[in-house]
Amino acid sequence: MRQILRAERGKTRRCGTSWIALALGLLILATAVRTVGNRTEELATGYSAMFYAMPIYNTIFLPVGLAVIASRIWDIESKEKNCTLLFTLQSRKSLLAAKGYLATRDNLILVLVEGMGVLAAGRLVGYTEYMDIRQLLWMLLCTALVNEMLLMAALWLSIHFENPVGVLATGIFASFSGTFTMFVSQTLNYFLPWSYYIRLVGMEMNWNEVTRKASYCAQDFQFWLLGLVIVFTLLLFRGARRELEKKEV
Amino acid sequence: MLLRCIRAENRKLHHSVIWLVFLIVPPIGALYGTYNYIINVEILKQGWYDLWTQHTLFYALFFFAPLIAVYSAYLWRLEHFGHNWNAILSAPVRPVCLFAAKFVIVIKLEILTQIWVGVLYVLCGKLWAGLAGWPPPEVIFWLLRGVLGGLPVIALQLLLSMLLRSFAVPVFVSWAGSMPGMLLGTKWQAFLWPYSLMLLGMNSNRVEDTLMGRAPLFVGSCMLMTVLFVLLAHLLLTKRDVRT
Repeated sequence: MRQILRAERGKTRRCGTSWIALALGLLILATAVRTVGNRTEELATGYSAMFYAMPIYNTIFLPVGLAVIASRIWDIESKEKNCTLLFTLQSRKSLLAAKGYLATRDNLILVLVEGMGVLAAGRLVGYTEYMDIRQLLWMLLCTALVNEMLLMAALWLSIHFENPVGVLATGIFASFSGTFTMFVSQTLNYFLPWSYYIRLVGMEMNWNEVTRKASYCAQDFQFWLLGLVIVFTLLLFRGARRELEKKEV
Repeated sequence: MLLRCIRAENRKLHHSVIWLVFLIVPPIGALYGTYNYIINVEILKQGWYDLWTQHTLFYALFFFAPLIAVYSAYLWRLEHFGHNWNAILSAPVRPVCLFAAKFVIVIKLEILTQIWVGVLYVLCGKLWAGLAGWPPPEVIFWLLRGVLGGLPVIALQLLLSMLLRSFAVPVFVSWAGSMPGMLLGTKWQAFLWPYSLMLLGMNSNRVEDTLMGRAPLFVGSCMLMTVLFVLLAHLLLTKRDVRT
C-alpha cells in the first residue's frame, strides 16, 4: 500500500490539488472576513458572524471546488486510457483507496486553513467577542465530514463519466441549488446533503430593523445529521468502489 | 482558413454534453430569481425591472463565468489529448486562427445562452410571476451589453484552457475570479476586473442604468481586455515550440 500511495503522490505532484484546496480555503476565509466587517459593533460579534458566514460560503464554493479537486485526482487515469494498463498492475480496490487518501488529504488542508484562518482573523482584525472553541471545532468537524461526502460523490462521478464536464456541471448545480435553498426554505435544506454545512453548524442570525444590528444564536449540535453525513459518505465510497469494479477497459 | 477552423470547432459541439449544461444551469437561476421576486413582492414594486435584477444577479455573479469556462475548456480538451497539440500546431493554418475560431464558437454559445436567459425571463414573468404587459425594451439592450461584457471572460478563459492541460482548473479559476467581481460591484475598480464586466453590462444589481455616463469606459475596458488576451494567446502560440 505504501508503494501505491507513493505512486499516487507522484502522479498528482503536478496536479496541484493541494494548492487548489489551499486557495479554496483562503478564498472562503477572505470572503467571510470581508463580509463580517471591522466596525466596533461588528467586532463585538465577530466570531459568531464568522460561524454564520463561513458555512454559507462553503455552500457556495465548495461543491464546485471539491468537484475540481476530485476531477483532477481522477483525471490522469481517464486521459490516454491509463486504466487499461493500471488494472493489470494493481487492484481496483487499492487504486480507489489511494485516490480516497489523496482526496482526504486535500480536505484536511482545506479545513486546517479555515480553522487557522478564523483564529488569525480574530487576532488580526481584533474581534472582541469571546471565541467559543467548541463551536469552532464543531464547525471544522462538520465541514470536514460534509467535504468528505462531496468528494466521494465527485470521485464516483469522475469514474462514471469519461468527460469531466459531468462532474463539474453537477458541482455547479449543487452550488446553485444549495445557495438558493438557503433563502427559500430551511426544511428544503435537509433534502440537499450538499447544503448541510449551514444546517449542521446551526448559527442563526437575527436582524433588528430598528437598531440595524445583527445578533447571533447558536443552535444545538445536530449529531443525528452528522451521523447521516457519515452514512452517506460510506455509501458513496461503496458506490465509487462498485463503479470502479465494473468499469470496462 | 479561419472559416474552416470555425467549421471544425463547430463540429465539436455536435452531440456534445455541453448542450446539457447550457440547458440546465440558466433555468435554476431563473426559477430561484422568480421565486425570490414572488416572496418579496411587497418590497419589489417595479415589476419587470425587479424581476430582471433577481433573475440575473446570481447568474452574472457566480454562474456565467464558470459556464464560459466549461465551454472554453471543452473546446480545448481534444487538443490536450495525446499528441494532438503537436498535430494542430503543425497544421497549415496560422496558430491564431485556431484561437480565433474557438473564440467565435464560444461567442456563439454565449449569445445562445443570453437568448435562453431572456426567454426564461419572459416565460417566468408571464407564467409564474403573473406580471402584466411585456418586459421593458431595455432588457434586449442589457442582454446585448452582457454579450459585450462577456468577451474578456471568453478570451481569458480560452487563454487559460489553452495553457493549462487540465479541464477543471480553469473552471475553478473562473469561479474564484467571480468573487472579487461581486465585492467590486459597481465601483470604478470593476472596470479593471474582467469578471465584473458581465455584471455591469447586464445591469444585474440595480434597476436604474449602472453604466449611465460610463458606457465608453465599459466598452473600452471590454475591448482592451479582449484584445490583450487574444494578443497574448497569439504571442504564446507563435513563440512556443511544438511539444513532442
